[in-house]
Amino acid sequence: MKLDRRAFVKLIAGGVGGTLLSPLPWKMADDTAIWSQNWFWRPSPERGGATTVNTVCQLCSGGCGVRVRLIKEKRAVNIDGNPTHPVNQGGICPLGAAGLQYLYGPSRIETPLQQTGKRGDLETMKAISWDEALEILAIKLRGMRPKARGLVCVSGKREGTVPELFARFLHAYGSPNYNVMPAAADAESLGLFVSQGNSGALGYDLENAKMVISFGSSYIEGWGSPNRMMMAFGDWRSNPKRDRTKIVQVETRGSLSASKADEWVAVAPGTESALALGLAQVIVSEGRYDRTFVSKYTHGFDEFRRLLRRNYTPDKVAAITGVEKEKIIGLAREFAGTKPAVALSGWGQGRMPGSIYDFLAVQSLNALVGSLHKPGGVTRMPRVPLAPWPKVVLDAKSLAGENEPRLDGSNGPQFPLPAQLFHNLVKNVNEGNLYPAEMLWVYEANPAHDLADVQPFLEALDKIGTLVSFSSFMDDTTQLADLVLPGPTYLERLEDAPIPPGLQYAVFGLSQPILSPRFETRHPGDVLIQLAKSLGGNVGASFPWSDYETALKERVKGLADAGRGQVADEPGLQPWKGGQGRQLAPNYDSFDDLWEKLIEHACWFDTSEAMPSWESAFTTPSRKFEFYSQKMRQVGIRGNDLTYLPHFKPVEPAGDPRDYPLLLMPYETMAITNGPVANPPFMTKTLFDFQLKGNDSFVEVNPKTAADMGLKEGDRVALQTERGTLKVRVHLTGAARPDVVFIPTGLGHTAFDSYIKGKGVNANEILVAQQEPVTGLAIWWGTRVKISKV
Amino acid sequence: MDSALIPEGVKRCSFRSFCLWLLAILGVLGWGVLGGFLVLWKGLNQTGLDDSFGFGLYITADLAIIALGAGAFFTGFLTYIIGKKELKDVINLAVVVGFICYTGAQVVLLLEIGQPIRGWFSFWHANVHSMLTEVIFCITCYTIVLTVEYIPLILENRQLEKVPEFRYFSHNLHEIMVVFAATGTFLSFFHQGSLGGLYGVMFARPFAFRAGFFIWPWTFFLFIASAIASGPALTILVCKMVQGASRKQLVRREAISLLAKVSGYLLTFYLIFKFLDTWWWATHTAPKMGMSFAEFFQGPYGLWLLVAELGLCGVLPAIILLIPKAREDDVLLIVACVLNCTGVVINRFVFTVQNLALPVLPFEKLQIYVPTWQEWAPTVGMLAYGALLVSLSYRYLPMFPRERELNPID
Amino acid sequence: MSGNKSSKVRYGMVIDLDKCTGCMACSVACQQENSVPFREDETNKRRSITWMEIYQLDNGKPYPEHRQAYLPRLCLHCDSSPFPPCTFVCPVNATHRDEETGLVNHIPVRCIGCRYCISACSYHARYFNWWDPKWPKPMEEMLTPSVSTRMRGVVEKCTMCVHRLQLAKDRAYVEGRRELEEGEYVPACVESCPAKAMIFGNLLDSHSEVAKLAKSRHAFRLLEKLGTEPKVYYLSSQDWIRKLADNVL
Ligand SMILES: Nc1nc2c(c(=O)[nH]1)N[C@H]1C(S)=C(S)[C@@H](COP(=O)(O)OP(=O)(O)OC[C@H]3O[C@@H](n4cnc5c(=O)[nH]c(N)nc54)[C@H](O)[C@@H]3O)O[C@H]1N2
Ligand SMILES: Nc1nc2c(c(=O)[nH]1)N[C@H]1C(S)=C(S)[C@@H](COP(=O)(O)OP(=O)(O)OC[C@H]3O[C@@H](n4cnc5c(=O)[nH]c(N)nc54)[C@H](O)[C@@H]3O)O[C@H]1N2
Ligand code: SF4
Ligand code: SF4
Ligand code: SF4
Ligand code: SF4
Ligand code: SF4
Ligand SMILES: [Mo]
Repeated sequence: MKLDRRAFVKLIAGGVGGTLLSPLPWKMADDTAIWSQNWFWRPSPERGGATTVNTVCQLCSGGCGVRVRLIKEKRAVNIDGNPTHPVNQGGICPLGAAGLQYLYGPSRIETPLQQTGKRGDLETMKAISWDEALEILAIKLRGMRPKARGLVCVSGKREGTVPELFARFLHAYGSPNYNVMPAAADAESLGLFVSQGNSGALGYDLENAKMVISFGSSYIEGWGSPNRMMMAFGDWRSNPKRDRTKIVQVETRGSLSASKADEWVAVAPGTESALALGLAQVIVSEGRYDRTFVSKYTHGFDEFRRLLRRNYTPDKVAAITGVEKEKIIGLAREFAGTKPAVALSGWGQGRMPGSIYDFLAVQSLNALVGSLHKPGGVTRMPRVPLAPWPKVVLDAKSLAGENEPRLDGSNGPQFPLPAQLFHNLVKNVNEGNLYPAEMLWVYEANPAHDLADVQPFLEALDKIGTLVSFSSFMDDTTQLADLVLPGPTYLERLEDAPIPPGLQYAVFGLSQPILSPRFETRHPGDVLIQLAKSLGGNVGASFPWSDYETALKERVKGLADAGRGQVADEPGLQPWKGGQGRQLAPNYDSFDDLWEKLIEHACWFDTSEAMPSWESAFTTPSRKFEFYSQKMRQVGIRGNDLTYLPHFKPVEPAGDPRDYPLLLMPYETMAITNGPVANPPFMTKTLFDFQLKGNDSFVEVNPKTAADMGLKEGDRVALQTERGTLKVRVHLTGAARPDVVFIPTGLGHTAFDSYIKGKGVNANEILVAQQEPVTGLAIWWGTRVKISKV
Repeated sequence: MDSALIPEGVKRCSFRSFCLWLLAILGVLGWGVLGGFLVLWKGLNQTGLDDSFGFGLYITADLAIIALGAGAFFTGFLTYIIGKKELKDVINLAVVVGFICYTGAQVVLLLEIGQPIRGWFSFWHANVHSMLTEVIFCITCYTIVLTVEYIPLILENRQLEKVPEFRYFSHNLHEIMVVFAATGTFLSFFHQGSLGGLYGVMFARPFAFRAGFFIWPWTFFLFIASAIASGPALTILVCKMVQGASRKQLVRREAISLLAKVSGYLLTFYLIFKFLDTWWWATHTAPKMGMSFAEFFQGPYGLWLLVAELGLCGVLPAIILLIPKAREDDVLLIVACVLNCTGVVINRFVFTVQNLALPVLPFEKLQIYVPTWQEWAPTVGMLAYGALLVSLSYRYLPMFPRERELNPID
Repeated sequence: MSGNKSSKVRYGMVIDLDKCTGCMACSVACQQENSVPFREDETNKRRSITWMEIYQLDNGKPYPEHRQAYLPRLCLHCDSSPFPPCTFVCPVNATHRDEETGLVNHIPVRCIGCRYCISACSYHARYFNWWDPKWPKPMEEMLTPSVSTRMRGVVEKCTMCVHRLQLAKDRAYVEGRRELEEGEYVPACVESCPAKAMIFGNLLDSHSEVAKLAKSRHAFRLLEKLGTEPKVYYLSSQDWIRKLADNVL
């Protein structure tokens, strides 16, 4: 064969051409394109028509309306805010937006479980049927009936028909020990009780306020109804400059709420209410208070004035708070001179009860400037006119229960006020006081993680006979349970969402099963009804309904009967405009119609309950707002004049300053949940690497303090308090006050799944809760701490 | 044992020693293959790359090696087009080194992209505006050219040559080598320039970006100049290495001297323009973007890099190579060539890594990049691959046409 | 603004940093809307995918003058002429700007993962899939059919929820309309924002809210000096925040 130049060129051309003309390279190229675009392990979600259903979010007490997008009416693929819901107007918080990660989360509990081995051992948790589970519980309860008072229930949800059913069950069964998790609402309701005579809660007309002073409330970081607060903030910031609502944040830490305020007043730790009293002193001494209101509708003003003059002059308050005298005077004048202006109370997101005196100091400031029960001020939270259930049927056992002392000591000789003192309950159990706790029910709460100063609670568990959890998730508490009765999540169940904290108008939300329950879960309401029926007797008779839905409807009939309010069915509703007491023409014509519309729109709201008239506003002995509380004396609280007046006497943080030179303060942020459920992966993803790095969480330290201690950014340190030690890393920031270190709460779960468990540390393990002597409320705003490099 | 394959009339080390040497090379190569395999199998999470450092060691190595591979086209250009006949002594070596550089770069490029199986999309869905498209097209074409240039040398192996078809084929290729040399030169000018453009056009990256005239033609020609200044230096180094290993003179001194001289002049030419570029960049381009020259040098990526690149590895070797007496001194020559090559590596490194490490948003911080062993291994493996190919080519192919003449066997 | 002069539509956004509460809802809403993958450990921020990433800014002053603010950063859909920094460099046309709308899109199934675009974007708006995305078993259920999941080895970024534009257009088409009205197409992040800090719309429609706000004296863009012409504007009345938007000598 001879290969000349032409043959050579031909050979090359032929070879190339031939290959290209054959299907081989094209087919292969095509195939690689297809393979590389459709790896079989890449999830390819099922397609289908999309529908949207309205419901309400129950991940916190915020009460927001949400819309859930469903594919083929069975697969939820998105949650966003419902624009027709007045509370959040289409906005949503990160927790609400991540809701599907709970519905489809890997730590869901699929069936009832019974612990057959040692508590906390997940291996020996045995799946059982609902019949078995209810039978086990019923047998125990029947056996326990003679010691009925030993049944304790703690609910994380404070309001609503399901917590009411729990309380009702205990009442009928014969136990006085229905409890809720501690929160700012505790101090608030006691404070209202002693100063205004009625317990309950406050509604702030923030949308109409021109000046807001927040005494430590994280007003855009989860306080109140988080979305409502952020929306109001956005609104305040939308107004043209001269009409803008002025925001002042009084807080020790340079939080986001502090940074975003027009003014941040950096007070010494724990002295917010001293500043409030300082402002009050200036307002009173300069005669800038609302004379009409004070003279006509308050009691004890002279005593209050004397106390202010004696203890809270600008000089004295400057010494306590570290805020310059001129600033105190200036702020006082501005607050008194701006109408309407309102002061907020409740530290952080409102998870800590706080001192009743802190509450009284701030609310007295509101009273002085005449912001009580006025537009743009603070009023009583309106009531939703739900119909009452028939009275609980009582037998001898339950009547006996009514007279038993509460295990938390409230309403008793030591703490005469009608408080919720779960920490004290824990203490009494640990010390063997009163009587034993035979059984603990935990509903919508995760005390084994969320309770500040959690160690005593974990110890108390050893002394509690049976722990029953109603949780949907294998959370820190549930994994310690003896019996688990898993409920459906909020997207799978019917339940009312009560009016959210701080709201000034009435709303009633309805969450509904937008898809069928994914597992063998049962609604806690239904569980209670079934349990009551199987116990029979007066307990059974107290639960006359066939199921929870019937029970709920019975109460909702009250709305239709009242003929008030409207179903929120159009975007842009602004109930706070046009004032309280505005009558709304009902847009439903019967209960059935109302129910149908509630199912469709998930929200009823009403503005017709006017601000209370001065005649009815105060049910104190003086029928006035009491600066000097006669109510306190009436219930049997002993003390000197100071006891009955708003004053500043901080509960000292635990720990000897010589051993623990620094102060440790917990803080909350929107990106870390503290509530019912642990941080979902979507939210954890948004944490900065100076908040969480690997499994390490951080404390905020002032650069100066750090320099004094030889600490650098990212250093690992041990935080030691009287209660214990946690290992964290250091983040240097000018937001931290010198000599105070700040730790976020909400991390450090010991349960759930690999996306949650073990991330960061749980601050509650080393915070030490103190007790306020008068009320018995637990307080843990600060704990003394020692830091050492590890 | 393999004497039948060894070219006639030359002496090679024993087969045993050669095998031991190969074993050492294969060991390193194996490590490289393992690293590469892990990256292909498990993905780029095996590397130290991240969203701050989209580019890292792989691209630095690719760019450096492509620059250094310029010895091939440039020697070809000087030999065939300019007619510097003395360079025929090293042209084969230059081709082999170029082939190594370009094929090595292609393999590493394949590791570097997240979807190697889609690599061909750059031909199919080509974006003509992208410098990377230009680079990929040109280096692929040029790799083909280098292959074609390498083939006749392979076919000159003693056994292969016995096949008449191969002989004709190789002979014919030789005849048209000028065409390939021209094509290679053309392609290389393009892609060396485009590599400069690759960075220079990133107008949101103040460190790399050059505006107006300073991008085209300036940066393009800077990259070409730095490549053709350093490529011959690598050719000299490899040549010296083979000579050292074989303890023989394989090329005439004139060839080496010419390469060294050319490299020296080009390096000087390059440096003049590089200094102008740096000056304009520091005083005009950067300030327009709100950046000061000093801000460009932070942390570990300090000013020392610039001093090293342009002073120690720029001006110094240029001086040595320009002074005939100095470049005739073997030690100084080697030092100069090593510095010259290092300079171009630093240049490619700063454009790749320092460029991305620097914060552009004012509220960001400097980032640090640390490559993992899975990145080092294929990079070092590429060197082993080079050593392998040079060793085999030297042993079995008449790589140095003058070898017999310079080392007569008695 | 540059880009295609003949188009009447340039979608863009204004983010009011004075209103933004740093709540992260937009970031989470985006993750849910666009099936953004997540891993057990997301604390290596240089490998964590968040199309909507939120930066913490501070004024650098000591306590108690210290102030912080948050800056949400999505893809800014740069309008530089003739190309945005990122699409200019893509060798395979896997990303390009739609000149009808000004949206910079990205086609993951064409992307070869060369990361040239990541290197070219100084806003860090682009993310690489360092791993194959995996959802813990039941969570695959919540993946939306509107957006495909991506695979290992490709880049992804904010698309301005372009699937929502498509849906809105389809709806309008069914109703016999050629043009969309303001508010018919709104990205998920904008919709989620509880503080209503984000406004979205057509920057070329002088009646739109977004166009008006973009002309506010408090409006600015990130790194304007680079000439990238972002279509995402920010608002702030705070000098220290505005100063952090661009490099100054
Ligand atoms: N990002 C994020 N957001 C969260 C959470 C989270 O973990 N992460 N947690 C959520 C949870 S669990 C909670 S409890 C909240 C905490 O925030 P809140 O729900 O506000 O907490 P509360 O303890 O109810 O009370 C806080 C303040 O709200 C008012 N308030 C409380 N209860 C009532 C009431 O019944 N009526 C009236 N009118 N006012 C009341 C009082 O002024 C009190 O000082 O934050 C929720 N938001
Ligand atoms: N240190 C510290 N302590 C605190 C607080 C704080 O901020 N810091 N906050 C206080 C406040 S405000 C609160 S509300 C409490 C919260 O107290 P927690 O102990 O947090 O109680 P929750 O977290 O509200 O309850 C959540 C439990 O309900 C379960 N769950 C969630 N969804 C469902 C469902 O659909 N069905 C059923 N059956 N169970 C469900 C979850 O698994 C979880 O175990 O903590 C209080 N204690
Ligand atoms: S604020 Fe609370 S209720 Fe509202 S969306 Fe967020 S978690 Fe749900
Ligand atoms: S922000 Fe980055 S990714 Fe987005 S268009 Fe601009 S350059 Fe491209
Ligand atoms: S990573 Fe993908 S989109 Fe980016 S430049 Fe490369 S191919 Fe184009
Ligand atoms: S526009 Fe859509 S894709 Fe972009 S950040 Fe917002 S939600 Fe994510
Ligand atoms: S949702 Fe709105 S307020 Fe929250 S971080 Fe995003 S832009 Fe800011
Ligand atoms: Mo809560």
